[in-house]
Amino acid sequence: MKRRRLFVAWCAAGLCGAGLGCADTQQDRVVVPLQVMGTGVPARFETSRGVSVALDRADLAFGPFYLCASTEAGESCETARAEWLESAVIDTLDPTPRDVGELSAVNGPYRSFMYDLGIASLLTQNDAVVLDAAEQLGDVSVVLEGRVDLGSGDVPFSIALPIARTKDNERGVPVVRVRASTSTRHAITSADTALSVRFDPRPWITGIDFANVCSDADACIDLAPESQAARAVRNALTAGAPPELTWNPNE
Amino acid sequence: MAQPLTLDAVAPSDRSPAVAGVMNHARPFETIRMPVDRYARPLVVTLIVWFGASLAFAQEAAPAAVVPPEVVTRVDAVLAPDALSAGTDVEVIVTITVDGEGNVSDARVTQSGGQEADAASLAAIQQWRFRPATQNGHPVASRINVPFSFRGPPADSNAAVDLSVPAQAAVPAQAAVPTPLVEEAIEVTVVGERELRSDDRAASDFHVRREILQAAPRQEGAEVLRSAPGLYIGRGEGAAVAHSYMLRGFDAEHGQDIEFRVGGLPINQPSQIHGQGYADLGFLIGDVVNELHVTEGVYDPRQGDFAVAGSINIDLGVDQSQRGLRWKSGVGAFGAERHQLIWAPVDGERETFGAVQYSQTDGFGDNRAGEAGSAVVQARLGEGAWRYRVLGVMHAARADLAGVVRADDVEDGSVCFTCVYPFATARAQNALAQRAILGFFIDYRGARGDNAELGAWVGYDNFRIQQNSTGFIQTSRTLASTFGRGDLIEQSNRTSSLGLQGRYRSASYRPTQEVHGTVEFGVAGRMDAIEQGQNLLDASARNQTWDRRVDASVRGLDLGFWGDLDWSFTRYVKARAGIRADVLAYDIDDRLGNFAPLARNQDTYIVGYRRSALGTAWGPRTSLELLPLSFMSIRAAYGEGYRSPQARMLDDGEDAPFTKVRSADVGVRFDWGDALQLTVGGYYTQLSDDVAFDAAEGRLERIGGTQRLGAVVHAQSKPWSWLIAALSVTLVDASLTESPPASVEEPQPPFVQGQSLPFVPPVVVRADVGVNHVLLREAGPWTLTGRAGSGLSFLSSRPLPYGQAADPFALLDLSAGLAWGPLDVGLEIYNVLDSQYAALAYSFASSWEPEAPRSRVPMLHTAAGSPRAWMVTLGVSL
Repeated sequence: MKRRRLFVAWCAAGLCGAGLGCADTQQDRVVVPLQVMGTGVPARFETSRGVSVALDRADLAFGPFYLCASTEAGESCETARAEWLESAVIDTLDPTPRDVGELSAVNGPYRSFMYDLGIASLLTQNDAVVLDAAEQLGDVSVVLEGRVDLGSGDVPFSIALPIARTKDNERGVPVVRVRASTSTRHAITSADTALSVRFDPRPWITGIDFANVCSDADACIDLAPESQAARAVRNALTAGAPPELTWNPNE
Repeated sequence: MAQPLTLDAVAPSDRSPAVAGVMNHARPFETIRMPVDRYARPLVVTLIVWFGASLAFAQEAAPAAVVPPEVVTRVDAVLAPDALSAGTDVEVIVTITVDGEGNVSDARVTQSGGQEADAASLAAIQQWRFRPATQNGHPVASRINVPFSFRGPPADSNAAVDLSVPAQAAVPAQAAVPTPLVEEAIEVTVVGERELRSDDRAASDFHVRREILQAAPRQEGAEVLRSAPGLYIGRGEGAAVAHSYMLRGFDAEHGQDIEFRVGGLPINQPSQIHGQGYADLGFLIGDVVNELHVTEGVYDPRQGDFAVAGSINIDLGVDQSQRGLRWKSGVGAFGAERHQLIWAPVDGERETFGAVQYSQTDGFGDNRAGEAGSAVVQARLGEGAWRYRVLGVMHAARADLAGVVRADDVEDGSVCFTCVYPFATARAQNALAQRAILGFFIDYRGARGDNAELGAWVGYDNFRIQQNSTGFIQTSRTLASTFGRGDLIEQSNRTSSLGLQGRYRSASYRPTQEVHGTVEFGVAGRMDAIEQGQNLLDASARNQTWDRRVDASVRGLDLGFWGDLDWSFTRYVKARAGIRADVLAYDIDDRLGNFAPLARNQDTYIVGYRRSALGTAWGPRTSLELLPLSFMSIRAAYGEGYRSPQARMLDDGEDAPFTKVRSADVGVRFDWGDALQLTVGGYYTQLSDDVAFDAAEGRLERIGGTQRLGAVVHAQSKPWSWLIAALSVTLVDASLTESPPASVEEPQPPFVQGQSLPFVPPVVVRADVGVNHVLLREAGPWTLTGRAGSGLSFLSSRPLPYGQAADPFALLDLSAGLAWGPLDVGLEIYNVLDSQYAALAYSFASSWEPEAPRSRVPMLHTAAGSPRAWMVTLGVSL
C-alpha cells in the first residue's frame, strides 16, 4: 500500500512539476491552539450599582465555539471559518491561560463569532444537550459564588444557571452571538500560534439588584433561575460584554 | 449500392495527408497504395519504446487513415496432385473486392498461373472472409490483390510417391500459400460511402477508434469515454445517476460542459434539477460503440448548447467481424452480473443492430446495490442518394446510494471509507432513471458532392434522486418548528423533448484551380417541457415530506442557426469560418417562488413566481489548417460557444445570462497512418460565468468567471496488426478570474480570484493497450485467438474549496480472453492496484452526529470509488 501511494504521489509530483501548479487553492486548512482564561479580578470590586462585591467562584462552561465570516453570527454562519466543538470549564477568576484544544479553521478573515455555554441546542433534539463542561458544573452553564456588602456586612450569594437557546425558531444556533466589531477583525492564517479567549466575570453580576435580591440574607443563596439576579446574569452572559479574543498572545 | 469513395492517387512520398482519405470528386475506383509498416515493428518492445520507435520510423509509413482488410477466414487453394510437375512453382494473383461487410466479390485473376491454378485460386478466394477495410474507423469496401503460390514436388522427390497421395493429403505440397495481406499486398482501392461532412477542425479533434475502445476492459459501456484524450469519467452516485465528467480542465459534473450526442441524438438535458446539461450515458452498450469523435473546444458551428469544454459524438455500429447474434454474460465480484444480447444481421450495414443489456450489482460497500436495463436499436435503410436511419434508446436504472462520508469520520473510524452512515436518512439514499429517445435521420448525398442531413427526435426522461450529503443541518422553510429530520433531499425531474435538426452543404465551388470550397447552412432546435421538484424527506417517517424547496415547470426552447465556409487555398492551406447564433427562451412557473416565511405574513400574498426570459448567444467558429508536409498538419482555431442557464436562476425579463465560452487552440498533428498518429497542442479557454456543486442544495451554483490554459499530447498507434495502443496526457492550469459575489452568509466566498479551480485535476493521463492474436490456427474446427488489454487512468490531486484537496489516484484495468469459433471467454479485472480513491470529493460543512454539537467548518467529503473487482465473461456468437 505504501509503495503504491508513493508511486502515485511520485507520478503526480513529476507531472505537476512540469510547470503547472497542482492544488493552489489560496486557501489552507489551519489548526490554531485555543486557550481560555479568566481575568485577575480584584478581591473586592464595585459594581455599576455601587455595590461592593467579592467573587469567590465564577466558573463558566464554554463551548462549542465558532468564528464566522459573516458580519452577523447565527443563521448566517451556516459555514464557519473556524470551530471548536468541545467544551471546557473556565475559572474566570484565574488569569492563567489554559490550553483546551485546537480550533479547526480555514484561513481567511472572520467578522463575528458565537458560542454556547456548555449546553447546546441541536436541530435534532427537542431538549438542549448538556455537554461535559456543564455536566461538571451540575448541568448548568455558570456558577457564581461570592459576597456582597450591602452596608451591614458581607452577605453570601450564589447562583447557578443553565443557559441555552429555548426558542424553536432559533433551534440549533449557539446561544451567544457576537457581531462584527473592530475587535473581531482578524484574518486567520497558518502563522497564527494561538487564540486566547478571556472572560471577565464582573459584568455578569453588575446588573443584579443585590439590595432587593439579598434583602433577606438566606434568599441570596441559590438564587432561582426566574429571579431578577438570574435574568441579569443570563442577559449579561448572552448579550453583554463579550469575551476578549487575543490572537497570538505570546508574541 | 454505396456511392464510390474516390481517393487521389498519389505516391506515398508526396501525398498530402489532407488528400488521403478525404473525398474529392467522383472518380471511382482509383487506387491508393497502402503502407507497409514493417519498418516500425522491430522496435516495438514496450509502450514507451513503441512510441519512440513509431516516431522514429513513422515517416516511412503511410499517411492515410485507411486500414486494409484483414483475413478472418482463409481457405487454401488445392490443386490435383498431378497438376504441377516436379520443381515447378506457380503464382496466381487474384484481385478481389472486399465489401463493407467483409465478403468477397468480383474476383478476377490478374496474373495467371495456368488454368487449373487459376480455377483453384478463384474457388478458394470465394470462401475467404475478411474484416473489412476501414477509413477513419468506418468499414469501407476495398479492392485488393491476393497472391497464391503453388509449389510442385521437389525435383528429386519420388514422383510415384507424390502422385499416389490423395488430393487432400497433397495439400501441403501443392496448396496455395497466401501471405497475410497486411504484410504483403497490396494495392487497395477503397470503395466506400462518402463522408457527409468533415468534423475535423482543430488540433484537439480526435477520433477514437473501436479498436482502442475495445482494447481495455470497461465495467460499463460509458467507460469507453475514458479513452478520449483528457476525459475522465467516474461513477460516484451509482448506476442510476449520470457519471461525473472531467475534460481538460473542466469539472463538467454530470455533463454541463460537454455536449454529448449518441448516434446524432442529443443527450444533455437543459435545466435538469440535479445538474445543468445532465447527460446520463448509462444506456450505452460498449460493444455497439463504433467510434468516439471528440472535439475539445468550440470550433465547429454545429456545436451547440453545453459545448463548453467540447463535444463528444458517439457513433454506434457493429463491425462485420462481430455481426450475427451474440450473447454475452458475465459474473463478477460484489454480486455483479451483466447479460448482453446483440443482434446485427450479417448482411446488414454496420449501423444496423439491436442490443439489449441487463446488469446488476450488490455493490462494493454498504447501500450500493443497483440494477439497470438498456435497449439500443438502430437501422440504416435505403440506398443511393437518400438514406435513412432510425435510432431508439430505452433505459431504466435504480440504485441505492451510499452518498458521501466525511474524511475525518473515516480517519477516526466512526464510518468506513466504503460505508454509509448508520442513519435512516443515509440509508434511504437512492436514485431512479428512466429514459426513452427515438430519432429519425435522413442523409442526402448529391451527385455533385452536395449533401444534407435532416433529423427529428423525441425524448422522455424521468429522474428521481434521494440524497443526503450534509447529514442533519437543514431547517424546514415551510413548516414552523421543524428541523433536523435529516437532510434527505429529494429531487425529481421529468423532461419531454422534441428536436429538429438539418443542414445542407453545397457542392464544391472552384473559382480557380487552386481554390475550392463549400458553404453550409444548418439549423438545430429543441423544445423541452420540464417538471421539477425538490423536497426534504424524513426517511424515519416513511419518506414524509417536511419541506418543499422547488416545485416548478419550465418550458425551454433553443433554436440555433449556423453558416459555415470550408475552403482550401492550394493544397497547403485550409480555412473554415462559421458563425452560430442561438435563441433561447424560457417560461418558468416557479410555484414556490416568492416564498419568504420569515419576511412576510403568508396571507398577504399567494406563493408563486411566474416569469419569462429570452436571450441570444452567438459566436464565430473559425479554424486554419496548414499542410506543409504530407504527414503534418498545423492547426489553429478560435471559437465562441455558450452554455444555457439553469432556467430557475433567471429573473423575469432577464437577458438570459448565458455562460459565454471563448476557446482557442493551436497544435500540430503528425499522421503516419497506423504506425503513429501524434497530436501536440495547447489551448486557452475562458468562461464568463462558471458554476460549481453546492452540497447544501444538491445542485450547481454560480462561482464567477474562470479560465484554463493547457496542453494535450495524444498518440495512437498500431505498429502490428495485433497490437494497438493509445496514450494521452493533458495538463491544465484552471483558475478563477473573478470571485463569486459575496453574500450575507458568505462575505468571503470559498472561491478566491486567481485560485486553482476546485475539482479540476491539473493532470490527466490515459493509456490503452490491446493485443489480439491467433494462438492456434487449427484448434479443432476453429481458430483459437487470444486477446489482452489494459487501460490506465491517472488523475492528479484535485484542489477543492476551503483548502482541501482530493488525493491523486491511478486506476489500472486488465483483461484477457480467448475466442474459439463461436465461443468467447474472458476475465476482466478493474482497479488492479486496488487504489482506494474518491470517485467524488467535495468540501463543505456537514453534521453527521445528531447528538453532538454541529460542525460548521467545511470538511473533505468523499464518495468511494470501486476497489479491485473482477468479472468473468462467456460469450456465444451465432
